[in-house]
Amino acid sequence: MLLIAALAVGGVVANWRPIDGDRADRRERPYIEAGQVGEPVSARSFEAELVSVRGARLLGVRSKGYETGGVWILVRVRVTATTEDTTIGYAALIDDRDREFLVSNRFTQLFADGARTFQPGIPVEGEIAFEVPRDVATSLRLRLAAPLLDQRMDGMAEITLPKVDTATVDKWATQQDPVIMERPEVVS
Amino acid sequence: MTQPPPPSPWAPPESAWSPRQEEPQQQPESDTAVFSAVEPDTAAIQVDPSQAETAAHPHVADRTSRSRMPQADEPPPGERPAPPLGPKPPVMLNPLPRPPRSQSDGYSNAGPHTASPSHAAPTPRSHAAPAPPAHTSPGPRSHAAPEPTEHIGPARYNGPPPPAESPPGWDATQEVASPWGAPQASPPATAPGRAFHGQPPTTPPPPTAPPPTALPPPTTPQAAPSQLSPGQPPRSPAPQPFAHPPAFAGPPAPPAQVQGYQAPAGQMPAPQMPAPQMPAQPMLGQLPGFPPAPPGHAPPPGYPPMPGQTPPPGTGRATTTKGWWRRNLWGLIALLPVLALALGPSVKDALDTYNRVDAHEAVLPGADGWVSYADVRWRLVGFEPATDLKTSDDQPFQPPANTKVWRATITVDAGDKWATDKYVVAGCNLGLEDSEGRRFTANPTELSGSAAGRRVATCSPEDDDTPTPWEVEIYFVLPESAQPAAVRILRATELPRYARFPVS
Repeated sequence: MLLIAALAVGGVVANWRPIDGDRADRRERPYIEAGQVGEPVSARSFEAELVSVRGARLLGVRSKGYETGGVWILVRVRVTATTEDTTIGYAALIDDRDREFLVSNRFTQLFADGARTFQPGIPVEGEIAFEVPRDVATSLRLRLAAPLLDQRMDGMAEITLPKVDTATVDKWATQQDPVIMERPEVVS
Repeated sequence: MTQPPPPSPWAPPESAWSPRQEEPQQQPESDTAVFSAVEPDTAAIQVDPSQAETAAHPHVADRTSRSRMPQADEPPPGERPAPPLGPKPPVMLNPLPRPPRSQSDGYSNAGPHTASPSHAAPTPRSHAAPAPPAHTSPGPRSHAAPEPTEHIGPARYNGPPPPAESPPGWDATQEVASPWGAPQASPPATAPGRAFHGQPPTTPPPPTAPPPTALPPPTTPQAAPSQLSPGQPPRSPAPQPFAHPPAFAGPPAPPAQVQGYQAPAGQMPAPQMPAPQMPAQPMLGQLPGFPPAPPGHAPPPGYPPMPGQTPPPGTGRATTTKGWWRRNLWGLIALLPVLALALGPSVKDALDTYNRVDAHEAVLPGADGWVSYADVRWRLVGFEPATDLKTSDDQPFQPPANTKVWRATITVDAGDKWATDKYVVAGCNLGLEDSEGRRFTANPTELSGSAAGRRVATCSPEDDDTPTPWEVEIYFVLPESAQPAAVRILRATELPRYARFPVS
């Protein structure tokens, strides 16, 4: 009788195990480590450090210009793999309302397209381009992770971008000169 | 007609007022009247004013109250004689109910705990006629004997003798059959005039039961209001407190306590009789207060020794633990496959996941440097720093700062399979592990711009027509401070096994 009861309880627990459901996103959310500008933030397989931020209305990539109705936000990040070769498969900006703006796919981004590999102990700096509305450009957060598709229950780095005023955003959105996107490079 | 009892030495002198001389003429006993059977007793009580205290007994009072029921030939209240002067009759305390009885029930003066009429023996009433021979036996309650308690005793049992199993000191005459069924015992303390036929008790009477003479005089000599008509004088003369006649020199009734019996109000509580001693039964020493188990008795296997027993040497808690395992042996054995069924799937899933995502079983080369892995033989023939890298236009390539490029040369022998399967080495992954355990990929992005950087790291030859064995050359970029440890060759279909070539 005890054995049957034990099996029954085990079956109930196994069936009750919350694999799916409404709260699956929250339950299986990634492990986010937050940081500020100038300090390395771990994303488990690599460490990221925000170097600089700039904006533009017209973005030049490989001799081609890409114009936007909002504003281009280009973040320069230094990435160093930790234990094994890795990639940046996920990059996004988060506004104050937790809306997510993924990396632009209007062109190939060599730094965060999921193809560039980072070797352990070799820091690499590069720029990542985001296209966002002008009203949210004043306050944003950068999130980086290695997995390309599934970031659940994995490490993720979150770095708060420096606050900018509306005048600066308007200036970025109205400047006529294109901003040339820099290529990734190994830094010492 | 009821004849007056013979003169009793306890009777008052003739000059004393006695309603008994008048009552018999006024209340002829009727055989059909239920309560007339007790009327003579009442008269007997009223004969001797000195026994008025005894009339305070509930049984007697009950009879007295019943005797006051108006009779057919009873003169009207106005014709009754004037009540005598003196103390009024005692109050009747808590008269017990008594079912109506017939005259032929065999009981001369039945109390509430008398036998039912069906059990009655056709014994003539003691006061209805001259005492029969059976009643002339020398007994304290016999009418023939000048016994002062003859007329005041609440009950006299004329039925079958009491059982012989009565405990010592118990008046057998008190155990009489109840008219309601199970036999009950009459309260002995309430029958001061009850006859005592047993042996004199050895237990002295308790101090809480004083002799009848010590009872206080009645404080309310008025009869019960419900038994008297308004304005009707009491029929009984005023009983006078009297001293108990000394004729009965026998010991008082032995104290007895009948279970479940509660003395009526106004009576002295019955003395407590000690409970009979039951023979002690051996309880194997399991309960406190019982004798220990006999020496030859042993507890069942697995149980601790009983109190009072010395455990065998070498036993104790270990014996108890061992007994528990022994008792649950089959249950524990049955639990093993259940645990395997419960945990098996989960463990298998975890192992499969662990083996699917990571290579942790290294296949090392033999003495000749060859490694058999994934149906192919492998051999690391060279590992050295690459300082002569060229660009696509045959210019010296400068690797990134603070990095160092390493070149590894591997010989692949696919054997006879190469002729039939050109994908025998497809999907292999080449890597390098440094002394810190960090793993690097071959031909990384840091070699972009060099001729080596344009070539995909693969184990296959540049041309499928290349005969086996062939050689592949791969490059690694490590931090300048890193120390290479081993070259790794991995095929996803061979996980978790991988070929490992130490280089240090």
